[in-house]
Amino acid sequence: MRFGVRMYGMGGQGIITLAKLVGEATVEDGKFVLMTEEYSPYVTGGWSKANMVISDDTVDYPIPEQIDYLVTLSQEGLDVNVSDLIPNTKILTELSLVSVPDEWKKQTTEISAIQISKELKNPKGANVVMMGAFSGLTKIFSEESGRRAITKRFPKYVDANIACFEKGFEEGMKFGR
Amino acid sequence: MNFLPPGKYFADGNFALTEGAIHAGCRFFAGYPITPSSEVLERMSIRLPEIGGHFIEMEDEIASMAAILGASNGGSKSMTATSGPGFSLMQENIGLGVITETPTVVLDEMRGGPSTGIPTRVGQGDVMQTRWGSHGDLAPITYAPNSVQESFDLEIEAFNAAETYRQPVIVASDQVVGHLTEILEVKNMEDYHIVQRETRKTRNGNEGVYDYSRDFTPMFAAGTGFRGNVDSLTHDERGYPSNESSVEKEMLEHLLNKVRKNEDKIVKYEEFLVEDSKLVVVAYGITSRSVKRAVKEARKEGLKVGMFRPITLWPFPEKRIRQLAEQSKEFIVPEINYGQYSHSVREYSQTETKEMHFPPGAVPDYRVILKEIERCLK
Repeated sequence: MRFGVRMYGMGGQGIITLAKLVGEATVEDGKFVLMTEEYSPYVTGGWSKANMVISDDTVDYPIPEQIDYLVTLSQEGLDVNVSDLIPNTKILTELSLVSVPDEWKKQTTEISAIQISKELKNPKGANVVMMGAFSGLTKIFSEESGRRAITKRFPKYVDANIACFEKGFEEGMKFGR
Repeated sequence: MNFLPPGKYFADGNFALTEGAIHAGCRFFAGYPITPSSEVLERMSIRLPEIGGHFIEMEDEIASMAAILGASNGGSKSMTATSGPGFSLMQENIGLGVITETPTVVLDEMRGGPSTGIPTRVGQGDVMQTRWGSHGDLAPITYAPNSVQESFDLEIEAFNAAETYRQPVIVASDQVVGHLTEILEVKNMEDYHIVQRETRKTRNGNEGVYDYSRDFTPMFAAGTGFRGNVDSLTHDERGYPSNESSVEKEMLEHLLNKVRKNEDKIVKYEEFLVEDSKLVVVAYGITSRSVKRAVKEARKEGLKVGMFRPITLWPFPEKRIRQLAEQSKEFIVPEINYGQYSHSVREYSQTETKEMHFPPGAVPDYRVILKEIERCLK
């Protein structure tokens, strides 16, 4: 098994943190994960992206050879990555920021991560909602490993972030197999 | 937190480089932030005060390099972290470290150049600068990690080499390795070999600052009682400057020979399927990971190709390259630059060496390397 995942958004949305959380949780489950990150030379508002390779075996080549999953929190993230997608790519988007063309609709899951994080009084936690949705949708890592990764990364804000994760997980499950 | 506890981490290269340095005993960091190495500086600013070390953000890279040399002469293991533009500024003081025999570690995380180039993306264009960057004759030691694990392990080795050979040692990582997040396994502290610094605190009679009859003379730590002269001018064993060619000869040969005579101990490399290979691809840093993939694919097609990865770029793994040249009719050297290390491979192997140029900004596509392997062997 070798999956390619791309996560994309704007600087400040927590895309790199999202990828690290997903990676940490997946490593907890005993898989090999390699993540590379790139960002435009701005602090806030420029693009930011992470590429991940998730495998049962050690990973040499650090670039995903196909994008099995695209997670995007910005319109640009869909627009610039469309040419890299394959017919089976599953897409996860932030509902309020990304409008999805009809041709990609059937493989796309739209999550109101920003809205959910605001309702849970953790407006910085939209990326953690997305992490939950990704787990619920793909089952690449378990709910339990997700919780552990969050606890490790945000020891001071465990409850607020676990709440975001769980709500996201629930949303993702609705669309998962 | 004292040392990073043993265990399995999902961590990036810059985290590993920082924690590796702290394991090795680094207690002084001076630097100026620059992408892609800034996370090392950031983490050092938090970690060093926690363990009784010192962190200074300097006004520029020239001062940073000077500060770590000063700290080392004061008795502290020290390092700095930078990228191409800052590395250029450090060159003069790297030479100062060489002539004063001051151990320290310089991390150069390579990005696209020249000048400020592509700040946030990968390059391998500083490779010859790590060899010839500072003026005069030098025998540099440069490590090139290709993974997060190696970033940790080689950082410790770089500190050990700096202490052993008493000179600045360079770790030439790159933007992708620095920002790559993967599994890092940290062992128990007692499982690491750390070279501790031995210092002389009192001066016995006419005892010199240096002793050229020995490869390694212990340092003295400034301010502890041993009063000595540390000079950037050519100096004799007492540390006093001289204009004599005979003194220059004695000093310079000592500086070069302490490394040259120990090349077998310093040189490190990785080989992958070279035993029966008719073609060897030489690659270092992140490029080697694309090459490994290409070699695996080529082997599936029955092509006799292998990979040779210098882990120490310098000293050049001359002996092994010469041996490989006897069995291999050709070398290929892919690099994220327009031909640098390939010159040395050609020079030492005296064998047909094909350069592959990849522009800075991306990890070389393994399929392009595979095509070149097929072209050479089919």
